[in-house]
Parts: sequence; C-alpha cells; structure tokens
Amino acid sequence: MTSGNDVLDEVVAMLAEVVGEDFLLEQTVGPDTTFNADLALESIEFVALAERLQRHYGARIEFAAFIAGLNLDQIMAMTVGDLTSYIEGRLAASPEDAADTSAAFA
Amino acid sequence: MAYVRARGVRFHVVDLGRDTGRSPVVMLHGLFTGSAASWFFTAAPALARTRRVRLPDWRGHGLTERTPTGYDTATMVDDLAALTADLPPFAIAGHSYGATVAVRFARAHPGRVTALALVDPPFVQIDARWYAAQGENAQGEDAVRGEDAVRSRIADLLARTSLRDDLAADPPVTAAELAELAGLPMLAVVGSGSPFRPAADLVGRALPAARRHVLAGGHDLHITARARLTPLLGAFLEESHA
Repeated sequence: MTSGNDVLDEVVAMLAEVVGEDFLLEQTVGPDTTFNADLALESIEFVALAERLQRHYGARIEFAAFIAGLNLDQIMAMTVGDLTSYIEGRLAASPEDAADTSAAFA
Repeated sequence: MAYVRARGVRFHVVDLGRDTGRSPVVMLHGLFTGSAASWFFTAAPALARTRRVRLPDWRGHGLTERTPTGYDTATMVDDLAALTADLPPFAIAGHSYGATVAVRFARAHPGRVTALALVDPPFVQIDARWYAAQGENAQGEDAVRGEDAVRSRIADLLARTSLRDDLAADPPVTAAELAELAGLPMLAVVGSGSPFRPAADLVGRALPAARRHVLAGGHDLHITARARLTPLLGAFLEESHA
C-alpha cells in the first residue's frame, strides 16, 4: 500500500521531470510549498504535471474533477500538500487493481 | 493524448473526460498568453464531467513546438482538422483568436461542427499591438504562472516567428462569414469592458438566432468570469444537443 511519503516522493519526481532537476535542487519541496508563489510554475507546466499524475495513478485519481471543485483562488494558492492529500485520499478509497490508465485521461 | 506529430509539427494536446453520448468539445485558446492551461484551469474540468474535452496548444504556445511560420488562420484551421481527425462531430469553444479559427474551421468543415461558442471573439479591427500588450500588462491571465517565462515566450513569438505579420494580414471575421453558418447553434459571450464587446452586435446582425451574453469583465472572461462563463458554456452545449 502506498504511504503518504511515497506519494510526496512520486509527485516531486514528476515535478522534476516537468521543470528540471536543476531547478528543484535550488529549493526543498515539501507539503507547504506552493506551485505558484514558491515554484513559479507556469500554468502549462502544471498541466504537464497533471498529465503525468493522471498517467501514473490512472483512473484512481481524476485530476479534472479535483480542479473543477476548486475556485481560482484555491488553485492559485495550491500547495504540494493539497495535491498529495487529494491523491492519498483517492488511493485509500480505491483498490490498487483499479489502476486502469486508459479511461480517465487518454 | 499528450504529444502528437501532425503536419510535420510536434503538437501538445490534452484530453479530459470520457466519450459519452454527447459531442466532444474542443476548446481553443487565444494567442500569446494562452495555452491549453487557459481552459484546463477554468471551464474544461466542469465540461469534462459529461463529455470528452480536447485542449490543443497552438503552434508556438504551451508545449507545442514553436514554428517560424503558420500563425495565419488558414494554417491553424488545417492544424485543427489534423488534431481532431479521430473525433466524431464536435462542438468548439474558442477564446479570442481561438474563436476566429473556430468560425473559419466551421466554414471549411461544415459537417464536423455541432455548435460554436465564441468567447470574446476579436471580430473587430483593432491594432495588432493590442494582443502583444496583453501579455505584457495582463495580471492574472494564468491561474498559475511563471511570469518571466511567459514574457520571454511572447517576446520570442514576436521576434522569431511570422505571428505578428500573420495577425496583421488576417482580416477579422465578417458578418458575411458568420451568416454562412446559419443553422449552427452559436453562442457569443463578450466582456463589458473588452475592446471586442461590439463583436456581439456583429454576431447578432449576422445570425439573429445566436445567443449573446455580456459578462462583467475584460477580454479574459474564461478566467475573470470563470464562475459565470463555465455554466453558460455547459448549458449552451446541452441546449444545442451537442
């Protein structure tokens, strides 16, 4: 079963793929790190991260539904911890073998 | 879908939602500060609850390759045809220049489009420099952004591509062009403070049956009026049986 720290590590690894290892070496990424103010992530980079998350976790997460439930202020202020909490909640609610990657996010 | 090679160009395209009985909707972003993210963080996730949603990045925007040329609407219409060839007939929601391409795509491919939603369409002749100034001045265009990266991307588009010339050479959509689309369900939403607000009157004259709304705000209604625009788009797609 995936533990909380594993999800954080996985998210940070995917973030590194999106923005580059060098960029992430300059700062420590933790649950309180914000995508906008701290990481200055471009919105399209956030989309690229979302695509990687969706591919990695498959149908167990629904990133679009997660975003649809937030207002823009909440999206602007989103922390790495907000994201990992959502993912952990979804993983806890669905069994490992439900990981069908094709349906939610082709 | 993530990256697609089409017409010799590496395009980035995001798909959300699932195939249902309803038409997919392809959502087209505007130039310069726009990208798939423009819709990804605004109306697209809500629409994806009931239908497939496709969000392409235009050439030189988002994660699509920056080509030296090809920013005229004729080329972008052909790009769109290639990026939607696998879809059944679909609805289009286009913001800004995305709305211009949407109209010209619908004229060129009449059987392919089920409904057209135009969000602050630039069907009014204004100085092309206005577009570029948007990228330099606009705050909050992106929900999440690296402002320096966005500025340098816009500077590169202006300095290294034909975009500025293509934009200047492409005339705005006319009433005559719109009138050819009679019978196609159409929605025009404009900003009360946008330079393109008169476009709603142009659409109304050409197509009296078109639905028109003025929302409080400027050009970037998908962001600043997200809470109003998103349900408008959803209801329009449902009413159009798209």
